[in-house]
Amino acid sequence: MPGDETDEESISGKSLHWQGNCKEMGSISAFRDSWLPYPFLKRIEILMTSKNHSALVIVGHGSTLNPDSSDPTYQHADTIRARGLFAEVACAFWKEEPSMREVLHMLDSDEIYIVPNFISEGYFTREVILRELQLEGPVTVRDGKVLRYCDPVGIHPSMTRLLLSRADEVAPDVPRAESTLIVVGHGTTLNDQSTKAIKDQIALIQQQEEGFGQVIDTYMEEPPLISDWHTLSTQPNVIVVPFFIADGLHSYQDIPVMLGLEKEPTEAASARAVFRQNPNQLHGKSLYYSSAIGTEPLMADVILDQVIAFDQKHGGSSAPNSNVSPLV
Amino acid sequence: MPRIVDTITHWLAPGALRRIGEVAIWKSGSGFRLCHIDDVSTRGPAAEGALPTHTRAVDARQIGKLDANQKFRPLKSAPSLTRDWLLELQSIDDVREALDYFYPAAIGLWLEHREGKITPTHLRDTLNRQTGMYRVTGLIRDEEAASLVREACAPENCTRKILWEISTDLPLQLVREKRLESDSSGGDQDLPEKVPLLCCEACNLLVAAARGVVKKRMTNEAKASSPES
Repeated sequence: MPGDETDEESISGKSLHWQGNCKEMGSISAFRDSWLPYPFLKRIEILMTSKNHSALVIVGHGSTLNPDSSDPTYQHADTIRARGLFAEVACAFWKEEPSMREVLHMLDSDEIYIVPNFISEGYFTREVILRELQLEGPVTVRDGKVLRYCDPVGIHPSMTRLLLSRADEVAPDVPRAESTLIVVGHGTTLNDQSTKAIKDQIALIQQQEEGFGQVIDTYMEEPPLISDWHTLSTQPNVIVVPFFIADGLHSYQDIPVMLGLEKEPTEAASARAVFRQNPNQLHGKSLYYSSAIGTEPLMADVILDQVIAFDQKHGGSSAPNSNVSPLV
Repeated sequence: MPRIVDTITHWLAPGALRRIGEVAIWKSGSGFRLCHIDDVSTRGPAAEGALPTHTRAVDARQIGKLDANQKFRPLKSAPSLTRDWLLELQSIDDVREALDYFYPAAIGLWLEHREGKITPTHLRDTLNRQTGMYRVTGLIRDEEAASLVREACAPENCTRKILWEISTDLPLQLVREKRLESDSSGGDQDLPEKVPLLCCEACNLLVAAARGVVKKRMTNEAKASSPES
């Protein structure tokens, strides 16, 4: 960030710009460092003293069938816990334990930030989580505790760069100009916000002219369908990035079948082999299939960015450092 | 020191073998050790030379993830925790974290229950607040609910002690093991030697099962009333 040369240089020894891209930077690691809205150390500086008496709860969906569904939520919590920014870090789930009705009982802190590890606004973030955590809105005061309900990770501006980073990771030597980037989502009639989140990401990538031959959105349950990927894509290389929080039923069972990578869904156990086969030669194209975007380790920083964004918007217990530019 | 950690510290006094669910835990030297309660004879305090198999709090998450048949354990209070492990931890914070993986919120819920701060949520209230695909669970009949709870929440499926009823007007008839015994409070100690796992309201597994019961009945009723039947 401009004016933060000392922090930037101490991170990587070179000047960083948060609107770079991988090809210009020349390496994936430099690209990763460049896109963060706040440089790593600035984020630490903002949170370190102001949150050390607060708790962070990351809310995930979880699954009663798939053991890998909650892994990313737990791993992001591990990352944040290791940084020592919060007094307590916990996870809560809709389908696993601790439930949202139980999680607050395992915390001593009187101020609790709640960040949904969900890919978009929708039924869960606007109804289920509010109901289960008994929240009244962005700020709830109950039983001597202040509960601060943040936006879900999937709608943070950082997600665009996360998608691009993942695409470059899974197809590192493939020219973008000869590639179709496909972001695949669920598509649901319950709430159109999840579809909107993906369409917003596609629009952002197209606006930023990232050099892809084609960038499109597809869905499991509504057109354009991911199963039509080979007719929808115009380029010889196709990079598919699931816009999901975790690898589970959809990303390594259902979508591989829809892509033609598998003939039938695999068992509900860790089945990561489907991501190691890239490229896959299908329909005369080279298909690169990524694991779900939510497994990206940098999602932990997006969670923290949502805490910072909350305080900027609602005036939380920490005032952002005046030297830090607000998020776009 | 935060309350939960402070409480666990006093609970794990030197020489004391404690238990929560299927986990035995004790102070060992400057650290702490945990093992399955059925492995205490071979890996417990008296087992000289027992070597730890795991040394990080996060390992508790993996230990509790799958059962002996490598099947996922979404319900942590199911009596299916694997055996043959010994977790050695260095700090009380690590112990707290490990216990939160084995039995999420169990310590906190017990402390608040002891202080009279827990109000159980009866089954009808849980089901009547559901929306979306689970809204239909509000149509479960009393006898269906009672039968479902007796079967799904039986001790061989879940070791939690149920604090709630069908409704304020309709108590649940449960076997003795599913109720909290009056002498389990631990006296003047915040945590008893064996901390019970409490069920303060129906979990999502039970809600999902209730949906199955209602949908099955509705399907049968529809078939019975169709012209072809």
